[in-house]
Amino acid sequence: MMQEVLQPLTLQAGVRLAAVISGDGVPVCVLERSSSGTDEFVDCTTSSQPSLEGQRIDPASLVALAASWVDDLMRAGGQIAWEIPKRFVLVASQGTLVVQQGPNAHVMVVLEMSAQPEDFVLPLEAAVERLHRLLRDLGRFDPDQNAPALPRPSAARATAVPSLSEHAAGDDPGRSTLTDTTGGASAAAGGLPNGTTGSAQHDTPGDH
Amino acid sequence: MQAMFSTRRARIRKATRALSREATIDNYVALAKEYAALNQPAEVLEVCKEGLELHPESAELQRLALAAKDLHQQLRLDTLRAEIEVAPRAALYRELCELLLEKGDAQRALESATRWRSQTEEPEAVYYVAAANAEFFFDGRRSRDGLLAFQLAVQSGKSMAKDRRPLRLQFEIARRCGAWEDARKALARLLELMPGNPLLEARFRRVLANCAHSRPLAKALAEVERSGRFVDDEPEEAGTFDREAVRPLLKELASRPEVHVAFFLRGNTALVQGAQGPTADRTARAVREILTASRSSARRMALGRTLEIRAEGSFGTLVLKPGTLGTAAVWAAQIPDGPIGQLMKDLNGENVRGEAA
Repeated sequence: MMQEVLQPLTLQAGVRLAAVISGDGVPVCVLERSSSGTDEFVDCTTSSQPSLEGQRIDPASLVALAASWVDDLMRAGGQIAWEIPKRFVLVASQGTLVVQQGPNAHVMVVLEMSAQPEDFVLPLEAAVERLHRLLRDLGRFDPDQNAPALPRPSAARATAVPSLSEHAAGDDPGRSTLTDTTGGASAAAGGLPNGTTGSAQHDTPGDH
Repeated sequence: MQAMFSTRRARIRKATRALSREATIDNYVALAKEYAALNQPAEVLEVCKEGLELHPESAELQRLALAAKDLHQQLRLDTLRAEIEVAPRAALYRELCELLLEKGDAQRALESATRWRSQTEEPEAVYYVAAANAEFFFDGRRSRDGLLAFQLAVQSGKSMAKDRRPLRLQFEIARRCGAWEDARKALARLLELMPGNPLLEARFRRVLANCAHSRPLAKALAEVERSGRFVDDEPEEAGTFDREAVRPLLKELASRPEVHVAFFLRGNTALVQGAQGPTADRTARAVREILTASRSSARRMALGRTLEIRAEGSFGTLVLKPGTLGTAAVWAAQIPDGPIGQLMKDLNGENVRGEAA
């Protein structure tokens, strides 16, 4: 059943791997392109070994690492009170990872270098919609749990759906930052990884 | 068709005569283009090579030579693949792997070498699997790639005792990650094969001097994966940059209507334009965390070096582009378009590198 969610994605040129992963990184369904030069995809959901010719990482590890990366990004975004991103793209020298948030799960693809992540916006949204429908049919979809990741009517956004900004301390930095931008103010901020190193300094607007 | 070819040949003769009268760049380019029109990349390459010996500064000849080389390699790759399907043998696989590695296509080289290895178990196939993995390690700095490459290079070196390539590979992997003791062993064996080689002897003396602070290979590889740097890379924290050169670009980036905040990160320093005070601090810290997590994840996921990170949501789009000078980042209302992408490349130094190349 899950394969049907991913099947249309595997028809796109440049897809190396397509997967549905649970929010905690467990592979639900993983399809990987066979290295035999054909466009066939192999179901690697239960594989824990690099089984294909020239494969460098086993699919289970890859999807778990992708889920962990998404978690890291959401945690980092949380401290600036952004709402949860719905799509993540990591372009690297040996491939591109695109992760789309779905209900209780993510849909991800690993692309060849020649493929453009922009071309996968609609196919991934469609895959999430198929996943959404599948879970609804199975009666496993709780919309409240995934509210920020799903499209919502804009009127409801302000009142009904809690966002990360409500959990963050202080005001909404998104709004204040926008105000700062129009004012032309700037700052040089010392990077403080883990709050231990570097120094913070703020330029006055007159410096620029 | 016949008439067209004879016309082309006549034009080649004419271009050759013009070149023999006057060996100018224009005449070399004209002759190379005539051969290109006949789809003869080997001849184009020859003409360009000869022209570049006389006019090494010619950008047009360099561009033509590169294009011809690419086409020539591609044609040869197609021929080799077709021949391997019919009659697979070591010489064909060797040339295929060499060509793919030369083209920088380590993934295809790995697939070909793995296939060769599964068919014959030849030690040379093992060497090419090692070489492809080493390319992945040099690019992505994933410790598992480095360790596998080193182990396979050792394995192939045992079977190919007179071959220098596995030893060179072992030396290069060990040297780059600071496993000096392993580098010394590989060099000592290379010196046995090439006694008296002055370059190797000089290298051996340098490596010997470093052996006092050598690290075990596995630990050294893990450190490369953690830090993302080889021992001879310039540490980003220590690297200085000209803030006054960066600020105008950053300001220009932030002044674009769709950009909310623009960032430039290098080492422990972040320049922020469009936000100030605690908001600037907090946002810069978050952007740095995203960068660090993504770089490390890309390595572990065997995706290689991080080129771009993007997070899209109702808040807009956050885009980070790491480069040679640092990382340019923007928080924008939508996915940044061409001019913003160019400005980000100017900021992170990728444009300068692209032009130089």
